[in-house]
Amino acid sequence: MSAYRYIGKGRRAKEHPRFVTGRGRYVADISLLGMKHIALVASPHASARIAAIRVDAALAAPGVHHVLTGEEFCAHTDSLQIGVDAPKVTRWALARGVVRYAGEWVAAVVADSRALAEDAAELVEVDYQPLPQVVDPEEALEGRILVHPEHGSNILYRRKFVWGPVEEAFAGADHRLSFRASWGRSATVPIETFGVVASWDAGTQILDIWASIQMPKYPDQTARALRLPGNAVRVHYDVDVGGSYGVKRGIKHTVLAAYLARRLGAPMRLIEDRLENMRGGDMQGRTACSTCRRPSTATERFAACAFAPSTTSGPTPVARRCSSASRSAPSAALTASPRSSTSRSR
Amino acid sequence: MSATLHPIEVEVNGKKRSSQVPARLSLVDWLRDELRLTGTHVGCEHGVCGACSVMLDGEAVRACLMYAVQAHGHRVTTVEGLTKPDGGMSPLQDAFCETHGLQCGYCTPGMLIAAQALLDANPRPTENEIREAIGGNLCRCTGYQQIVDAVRLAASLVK
Repeated sequence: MSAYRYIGKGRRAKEHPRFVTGRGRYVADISLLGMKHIALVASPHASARIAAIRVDAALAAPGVHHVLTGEEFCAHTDSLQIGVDAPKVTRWALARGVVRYAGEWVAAVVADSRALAEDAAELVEVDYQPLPQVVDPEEALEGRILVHPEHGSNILYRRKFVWGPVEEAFAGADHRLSFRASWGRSATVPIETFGVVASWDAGTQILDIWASIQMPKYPDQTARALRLPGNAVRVHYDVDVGGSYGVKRGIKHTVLAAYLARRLGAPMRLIEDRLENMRGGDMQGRTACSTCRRPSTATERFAACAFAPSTTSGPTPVARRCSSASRSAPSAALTASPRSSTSRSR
Repeated sequence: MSATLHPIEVEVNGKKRSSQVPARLSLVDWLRDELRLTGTHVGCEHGVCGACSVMLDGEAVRACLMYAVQAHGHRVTTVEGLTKPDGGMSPLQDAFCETHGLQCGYCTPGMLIAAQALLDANPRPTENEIREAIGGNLCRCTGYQQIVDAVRLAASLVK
């Protein structure tokens, strides 16, 4: 029917036979000799000071090897990169001193099985002193409650983008339309949660990683946080990924599992359960609100447009999420799309 | 937590399997971790997504909502057990490949189990019956249409 060899032909995917016969190899199918399992203790508070963490009962539980808190973890690893120029805004897998969102990890329990690790995680006692919280981007801009006080404000990034002669379009307009749009935080929900298996070889000083990952710069960021040279991290990219849709960027999970693998001399497995995937997985779509303005003339219905967006990237900004509670000055954040330029020239 | 182990005997994909399991061990964890039948997937762990579906005496059930001890004396079929005796693809598995009834493959074992259980009981299902049968299985990649196409194709190929 088609004149082409490939185009217009029904073709099969190479990977489908192994998926329909149960021979896929996803991260939860990776099993290494001596592998230990990680369960997490998460904050029930959106904003709180951590007054005390008591781990003795958890450590005494059957099959438990270690209970890791932010004190130890942050002392031996570096903050993850946040992607903006705000050096005092740090981000680790485990909270230290304060929690900044509900679901933030406070402790990690390592045990012989996930079930035993979960049993012990329930025995970790954390004393929280709740603090005021801020969730609305415009309220965050007012700065009455600072998410990272050391930074001095809630504005992490502010930038003006201008394409084309936008001011002129507004100046010459017959009509000006203005409206406000807002949308809530969103997240994708793949059927497979994020997971990672990490193994440290003390002889070769190589970290092996198997993960449900499709994130750029994943080995580089893992190496940097662990204070390793870039060529000491080997990511096995042949692991099948059970859906992502943008949410699978488990860099914090990876650094945590890798640190524990090296610390305890045993391969580590951390597989999110559905609850962790939905609250602790922090690669979500941002809350945003935007004032939008659009001028038009008798001949041009859409001469230009201007947006003054404020977006929150959440409590801990992440690489590639470049704006957090930031807002360009309304009169300055002007954009004109190539399409409106074209219509103007006609 | 109780460390008491309970003896179970289950026929899995035609083979008798015996084991000593704690009462709280789920069927899906037993299949995956002890028998290493990793084709059955864990998605939500509370009976919503259907990724862990297996057949129990020919009926599709959630392996995350059953304890391994409850399978004692029963017959379990996993996605690995759907293949032909020589390991080749069944008509249904082949139809999923033909219609692109999958992308990431994670929900696929559960979909296949739900669809095969339907076809075993009802070899000529209507489209509504197909949709009803896979109604308890979530897929994020396909939008379901190609999965329905696959089941319909498989039904048309058999006998």
